Amino acid sequence: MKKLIFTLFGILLGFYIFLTVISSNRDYKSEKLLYRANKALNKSRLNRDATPEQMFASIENDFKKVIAKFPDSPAAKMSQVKLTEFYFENQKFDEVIRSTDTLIDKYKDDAALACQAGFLKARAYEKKGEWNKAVAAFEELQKKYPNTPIALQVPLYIADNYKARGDAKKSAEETEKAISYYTKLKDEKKGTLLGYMSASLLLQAYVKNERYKDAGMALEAIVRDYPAEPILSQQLPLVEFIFVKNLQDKAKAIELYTYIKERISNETHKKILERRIVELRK
Amino acid sequence: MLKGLLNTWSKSLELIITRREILIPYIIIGFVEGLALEVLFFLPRKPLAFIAAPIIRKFFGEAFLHYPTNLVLLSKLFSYTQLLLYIVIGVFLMGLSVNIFKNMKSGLPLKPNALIKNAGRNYRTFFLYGAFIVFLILAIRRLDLLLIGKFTKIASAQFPNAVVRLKPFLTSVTLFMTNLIMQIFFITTLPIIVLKKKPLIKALGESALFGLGNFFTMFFLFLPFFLVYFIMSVLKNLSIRVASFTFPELILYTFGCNMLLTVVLDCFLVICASQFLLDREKTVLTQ
Repeated sequence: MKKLIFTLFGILLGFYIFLTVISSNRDYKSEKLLYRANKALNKSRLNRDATPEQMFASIENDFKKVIAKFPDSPAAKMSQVKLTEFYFENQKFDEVIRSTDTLIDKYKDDAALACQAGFLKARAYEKKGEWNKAVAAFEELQKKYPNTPIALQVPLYIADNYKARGDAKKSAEETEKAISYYTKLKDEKKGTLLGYMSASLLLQAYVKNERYKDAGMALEAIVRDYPAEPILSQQLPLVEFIFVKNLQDKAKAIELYTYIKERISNETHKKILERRIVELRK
Repeated sequence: MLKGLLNTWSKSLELIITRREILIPYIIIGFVEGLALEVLFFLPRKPLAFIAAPIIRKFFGEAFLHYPTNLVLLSKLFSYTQLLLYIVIGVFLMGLSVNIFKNMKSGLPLKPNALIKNAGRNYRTFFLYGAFIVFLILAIRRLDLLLIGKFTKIASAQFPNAVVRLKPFLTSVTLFMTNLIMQIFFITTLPIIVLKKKPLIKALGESALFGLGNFFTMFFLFLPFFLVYFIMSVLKNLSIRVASFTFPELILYTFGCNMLLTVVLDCFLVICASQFLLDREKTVLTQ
């Protein structure tokens, strides 16, 4: 009986060792290491102030270990991204710039990743106070990856930034640039996701600069060109804000509410719209 | 009744302790499950991934090929594998253990070849019995969940907060009780097939009648076993949740420990059922 148990246990152990040897999968090991580092990173984010310094050093080392030991694995790519985010959160902007350069060089085929890295690099320059270098990085991002959601937001971001700095003249210049850029793109890419995003950003640009008449036209264009229910539901607060509150054009608001009500299936939203239309007609 | 229960438990335990050969079929079941667990653990990695990866990707998604979600998939796949192994080999080996029990009680020698040959003759019966039990367990589970769903839907109109809080507890208790009641009616089928040499349908019928006639005694006789199974099941589910806070390998270790415990528990349960049947049949015979 004992002999049987030991034999079977030995076979199980032997089989396990055999499978471990033939399955020495570097990707699996790299994933384990990445998981551990990620878990520690998420834990540190819960309460940054209460996290000891050694933990931050350990997190950085773990990510670097994955990159060093398994340089060509998917986990190394994710580690580089996480390391960049980690540096950004801990305000180590020089390391952010170095890390994003590595990401852009090594993974240039991954447009989404390279774009994200480019954006972080520009933000790092901005945080360092080197605004001119930040603008240059943003513009390079826009030039290299024009049809990505991140790059699309760059013109408005730059305009907003000048406004926040109190440079009204430059802000107005950049806003006009953003508006013509978005107007051109929304027409070129009409009916696509990029077209919708351009139209939304154009609307945002008008609203931020209190050009409510133009904002109203942009909003109406979105509602008519993109009549999908989730998009229409998102525009409802803007209809109220632009047409009712700012332009005092109740007739237009009623027209758009009626149009939207006919195209949505959500009964609660329909009832709310019906009530609002009745109130506006009074 | 308590004296009777204690008598059955003590006779079964004494047999297992003094004649440990009766554990051999269950050790073999545990060994096969152990091999299966190891294979499933290494499935997402090369070279097994060459075959398994496309299947896992299609039915479960890419995420389950990577650490640590592969361990969550492992728990699911292992549960299905256990059901399959139960039908294909588990019931056969349990039938073999009842044969060993019969020989021990009759004072006959234990010749492995003869025992395997004897059990082998009934393989088709054991296979069908295993398939029937698994089908019944899954069907009852589905029915329970459907009924609980309907009940909670009606009850939530009046007591929404209470229903939300009580639903998990209600579900667990209902599943536990219906499983136990089902087992009372069919647990003696295997001993009837081996000890009384009855065919499957007759054995199922006789087992159901036997369960009906001895319902309360059998309820308390088998309740401790199923409570332990229930706790093991809760621990398995908990390990999946706790793993994300501690370490993912906890799932593997919990399943492994569960497997080891099941070797002893299954043996004790089947021997108890056989012993109880034998005691009752002796009682009937002497009357």
